[in-house]
Amino acid sequence: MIALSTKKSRSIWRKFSANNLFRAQADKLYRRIDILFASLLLAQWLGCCIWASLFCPYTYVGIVPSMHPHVTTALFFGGLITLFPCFLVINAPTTPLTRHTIAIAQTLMSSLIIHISGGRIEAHFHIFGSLAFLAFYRDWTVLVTATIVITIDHFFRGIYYPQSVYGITTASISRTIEHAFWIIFEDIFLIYSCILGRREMMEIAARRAELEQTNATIEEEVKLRTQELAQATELLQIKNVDLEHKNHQIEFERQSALAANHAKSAFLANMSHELRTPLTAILGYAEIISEPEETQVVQEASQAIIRNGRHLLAILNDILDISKIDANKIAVENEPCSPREIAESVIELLKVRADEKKIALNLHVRHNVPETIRSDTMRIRQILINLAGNAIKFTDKGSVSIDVHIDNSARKLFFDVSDSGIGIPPEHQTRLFREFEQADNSVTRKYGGTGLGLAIAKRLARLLNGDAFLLQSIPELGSTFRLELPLDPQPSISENLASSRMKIS
Amino acid sequence: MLETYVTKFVFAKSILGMTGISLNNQPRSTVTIVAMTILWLIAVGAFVTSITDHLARPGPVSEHQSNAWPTNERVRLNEDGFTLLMFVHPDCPCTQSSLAELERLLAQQSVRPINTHIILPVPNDAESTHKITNVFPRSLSLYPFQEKHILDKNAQLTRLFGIRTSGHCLLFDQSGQLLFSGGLTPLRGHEGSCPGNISLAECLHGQPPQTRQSPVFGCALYQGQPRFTQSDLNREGRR
Repeated sequence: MIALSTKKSRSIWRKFSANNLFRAQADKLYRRIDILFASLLLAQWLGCCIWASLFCPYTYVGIVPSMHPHVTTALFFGGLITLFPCFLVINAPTTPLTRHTIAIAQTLMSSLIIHISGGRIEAHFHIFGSLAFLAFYRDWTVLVTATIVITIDHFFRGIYYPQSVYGITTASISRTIEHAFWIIFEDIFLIYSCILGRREMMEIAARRAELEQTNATIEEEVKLRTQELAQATELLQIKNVDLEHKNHQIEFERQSALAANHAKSAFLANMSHELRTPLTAILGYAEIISEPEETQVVQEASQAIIRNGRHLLAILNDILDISKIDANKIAVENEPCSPREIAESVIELLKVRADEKKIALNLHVRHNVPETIRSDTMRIRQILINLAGNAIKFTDKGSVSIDVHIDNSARKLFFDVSDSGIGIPPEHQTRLFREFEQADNSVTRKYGGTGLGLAIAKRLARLLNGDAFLLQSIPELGSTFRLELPLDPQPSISENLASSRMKIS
Repeated sequence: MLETYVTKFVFAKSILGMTGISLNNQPRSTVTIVAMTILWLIAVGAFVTSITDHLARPGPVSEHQSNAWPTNERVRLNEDGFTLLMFVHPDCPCTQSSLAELERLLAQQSVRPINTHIILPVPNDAESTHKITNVFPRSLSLYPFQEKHILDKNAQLTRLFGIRTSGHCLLFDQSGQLLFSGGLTPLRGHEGSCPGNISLAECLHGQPPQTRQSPVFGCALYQGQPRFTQSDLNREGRR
């Protein structure tokens, strides 16, 4: 349908264009013939003046000469019939009025030439020549005008001056018809020639319009293709940029992986040391225990073995946890649990360590915190132990507090763990939650630990559709870490659970 | 009243439309051009009428013209046939047309022999005569007339025959009776069939002519009124 419509509109456009071209061509032709006729009229006028001046300059009364009327006629009448069409050629070129005036003028010029040549029969051929020349316009109506002028001239002369055209004192209308007939006889062929010429012009215009349309279509096609090519090039460039970006990303990730690998290597080195030290201690104290006489020493050794064993166990637990998370083998539950109870249990668990360091351990649960939420009690507890444990570890004086509150509009539950510890310099804050990395290697040496605690906390929080992150930290003043959990049950928890269970099974 | 104006306006507009000029687009120039065209056509029509009128206006004919052969010594009446006289102005541009028509007539067969005389009125002074006789034979020699031309000093013969206009032809029979008097051309300086040459041909063929007089188109052969009579001629001849 669209193709048909396009075809129809193209056809209409071609016809319109052909008409315009034909009109332009016709105007060009009219202008050329107008100028030719103006030149011819001027030449004829001049010729008539010269002829009259040479061959009949005077009329006589006896021997007294006076200017012959032929001279004045050639000069003034010739000027009248010549100059006005020339004026029109200049002021109204190509108009039908100009063409028809020229036809009248040329016919009158024939009359003048016949007149001053003494009515010679040969001079009458000027009329037929003029008609043929008028046919150059390819506008048959000018021939009609010329014929009408000739017929009118003969008609009125036939009535009032019959001897001037027919050589008799009285003439019937049939003589006028006879003269008109011979003019029309020529007109028939000339008019036919005009029609053919006009048709030919129209055909040429139609062909040219078709050619122009074809050229325009080709140009349009070329333009379209060029545009498409440009678009494709642009797209390619975008893809190149994208590819470069991806390459950069891959390179960055590669560098990150290398860094992670390096960190893992460093971790292994540290861990080897960390594992070896308590193990050496355990072995040493075990040897001491094997000697029965040292009771006081045995007790101290037993305590040291228990402490080192627990430390070793904690390290191994951490490594195990991160490995499970990495392998997606950790399971999270989706069951009713109480944020308050979880926080209290953590406080209770860590109270001994806080007391040992002589720092206060506070819990503040806001009144709008719901009694139960659906999540995994054990994992929340584990995350909080990590966060609060870290806080106690890096706090030498002051307090550590857990603040439980919610954002009802965001439907989120927050556990903010704040301390008055050493704080974290800004340049180390971004590395806090990376696996196997601590803020500073000196930290490991001074405070011990695997550096996995925060990474595990973050990974577990995300498994619970929440997050764990550093809220704020000011060196020497303390830090606040936040555990963020959804208040409403999340389908992903179940999915994770199902996925985890399936993996476990 | 309003209807009349509207009708006129619509008519004018349709005429302008036929000329290909829009009244709305170029009202002033279009109206001016059309008005000029109309004035031009009127002027042309007036000019054509004036020219044709001049062309078809015959010269004067003398009231003193006689129907009988006037006695004179310069031209002798052909007692065996026709005597044909043509009076022409030697410098008149119409003379050639008259002579051409005469030649055409003389080429036809006649029932009787014809004596043709071309009479050229010339001034009396020698200088003018010399000038005219040098100019005129140039055209006259082209025509095979039986008689040579006669230089008519001071237009004596011309006045005697009562002729005033160049191209005037007179045909007398053997008894001196005027058979035809008039011009042989249809218009001033125009050749072609006309009542004059048709009637003269009819006379030469012994047929009754459709007219015995026809208008003469040409220059005046002399100034003033014809004043020569037979006695004047005789007196001039003696002088």
